Amino acid sequence: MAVVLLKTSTVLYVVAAFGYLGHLLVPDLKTERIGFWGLAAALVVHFVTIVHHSVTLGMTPVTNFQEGLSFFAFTLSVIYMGMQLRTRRPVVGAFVTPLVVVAIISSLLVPAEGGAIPESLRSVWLPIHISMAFLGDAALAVAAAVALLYLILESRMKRKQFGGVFGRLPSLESLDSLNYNLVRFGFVLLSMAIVTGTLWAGQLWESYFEWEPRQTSALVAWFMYAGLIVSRWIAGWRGRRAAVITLVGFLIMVGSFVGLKLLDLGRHTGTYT
Amino acid sequence: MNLFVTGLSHKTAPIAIRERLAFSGDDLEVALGRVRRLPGIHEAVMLCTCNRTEVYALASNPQAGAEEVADWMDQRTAGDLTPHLYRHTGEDALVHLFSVSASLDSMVVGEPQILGQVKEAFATARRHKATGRRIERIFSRAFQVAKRVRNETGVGENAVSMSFVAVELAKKVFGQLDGKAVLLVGAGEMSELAAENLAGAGVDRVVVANRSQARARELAQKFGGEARGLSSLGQLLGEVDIVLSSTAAPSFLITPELLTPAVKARRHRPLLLIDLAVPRDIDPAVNELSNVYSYDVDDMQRVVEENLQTRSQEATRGLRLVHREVTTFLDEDKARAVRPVLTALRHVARQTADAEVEKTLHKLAAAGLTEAQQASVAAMGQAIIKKLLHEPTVLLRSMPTGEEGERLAAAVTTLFGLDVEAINEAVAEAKQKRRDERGPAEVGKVVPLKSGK
Repeated sequence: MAVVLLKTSTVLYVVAAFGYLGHLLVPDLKTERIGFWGLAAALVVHFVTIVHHSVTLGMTPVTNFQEGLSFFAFTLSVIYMGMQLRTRRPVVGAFVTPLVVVAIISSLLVPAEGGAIPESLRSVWLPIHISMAFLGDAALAVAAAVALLYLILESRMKRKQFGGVFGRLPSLESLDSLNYNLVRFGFVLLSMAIVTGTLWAGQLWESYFEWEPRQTSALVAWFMYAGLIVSRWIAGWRGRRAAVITLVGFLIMVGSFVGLKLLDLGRHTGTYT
Repeated sequence: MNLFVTGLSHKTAPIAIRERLAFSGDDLEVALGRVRRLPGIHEAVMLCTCNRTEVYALASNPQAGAEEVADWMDQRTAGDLTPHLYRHTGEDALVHLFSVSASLDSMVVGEPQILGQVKEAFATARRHKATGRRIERIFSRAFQVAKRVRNETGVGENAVSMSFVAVELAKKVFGQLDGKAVLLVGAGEMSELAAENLAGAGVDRVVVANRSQARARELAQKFGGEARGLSSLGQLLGEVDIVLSSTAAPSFLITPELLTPAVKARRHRPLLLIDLAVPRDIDPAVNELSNVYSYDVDDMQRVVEENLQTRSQEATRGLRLVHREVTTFLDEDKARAVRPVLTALRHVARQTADAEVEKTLHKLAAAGLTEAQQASVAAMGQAIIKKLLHEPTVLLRSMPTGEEGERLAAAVTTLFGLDVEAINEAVAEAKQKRRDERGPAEVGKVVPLKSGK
């Protein structure tokens, strides 16, 4: 049942990705509606999957890498959906939905290693901390997609290449402010995830901070994004530079997310991603 | 379809010829009246723009009609227009009208004025009672098709003049232009035009910096803006969002050295520089500065050419759409040819039956038929025609489109010797009369259904 649901939502995510990519690449097809409704349907099915899984598991279903990826695909779609409803920029969807598809398909391919879950993690802190962390990461991932779009458009404008997709891209200013809003939103969530995580760690490990790899990388990312926001605020850093920093920040995050898992380091591993 | 078009356009005639057939105002009305009175021509519309003069009209023999109009045009110009005139009839004429309305035949494909001009021409013809129901139907379809082509293809998208390219670039950088400021360096005509378009797109603040203060003030006044000297250029670059430069200066006015402090002053907000001057006013090296986008005349020209190319590709798609629409229209037109024939056939049959029943009852009057028997005779008459006409009716109704339907309608007309037009008019009149008799008070009232006999 759970697998069927997950596979259904995967198919819907793929449909959505094709819809959004079609919108970007073949202007006359008007496939962005397929993208939108495909994604909406995928979200509903995926949400049901996660709820169903939580009930059977008795806790937030992020107990291994597979579930982590699936949960990330979900939060990413939630953030993008929220953004699409507010700003109506289906072009960004062509950059986000493929990321969602990669995450969800990897989650299907990665073996579900059902390790024993320490009783200590069955805490009310888990869903709070996890949701903050994942939503924050997702917002920063969407920000990275927007930043990438910005860099593409910017380089085309500098090199004066106006053909092809150029006409369908939104304006530089709107992409820049979209990026800024997403980064601020993601930053707030990331901060809350760090605070809740730290408090919980204090309870669990009897030490708030101990240079544990996941904690450290989160802190590094936090400082990077803080720097980005402050420099924009004070020195007016924006546009290309802001986009590059957003993108680098995201790559560092992905690196720590995947790298730490592969190296199997730290106390976060074995329990959840 | 007995529509035809005779005319000339920028594609077939040079301006020296076109201007001799350019009618406007009263001239146009007189000319329209002349055309309308040419032998064999029923309904006519005359389209006159600076790129074309065309007569669209209906004639029982469209080929002959087209020649009549061509001869009239020849006389008008007292010259031989033959190499310049084109004549299209039937389907081709429809394709031509739809393409012209959709701006697919324009000098600048997709330019938006032509549809308005066709509408105007049609309205003028209608005012002078030169049009009838049939040409009205044709033109109103032409307007619909033009709208469809505009909406469903990209013929009208992408700027094809430098001043609109400037607006497009500004929108690509800033999105919304409300609240943005534009600086005109030099008071050239091109930058004035571009500034006008930018102001139309939402830019609120216009600053003019010019060597001659008088000219700067004059131009600034036009946009409700402010005039400055060229010396404050450095400071202004920190304030505005868009710069249009078109001075006659022999060397670069805006250089990276001048712009670097301005970039800081503007806190890296994007700056769009458009250089319309030759020799250039803006050092191309400024394009390397962050959030500064600089374009010169060649860049703009390249955009115009690319956009023109895109438009002509889109025009091919538009033409395909036009051909599909023409086919649909012709099919509908043929269906319209079938319906009156059916009405006439049924009307004639019913009348014949009624007359024969009357005659028979009259002859049988001596026999003293009961009322029920009389009713039976009447019913028999109606039943015979009903049965007899059942097959042809179904056939005519089920074949509303295509050549087949039209041929069938023609056959029925000939076989039964129907005067379709006259009968339909009589039927319509009778209907109108019945409606009138019911009285104005009852119009629109719900008529209750009869509850049994």
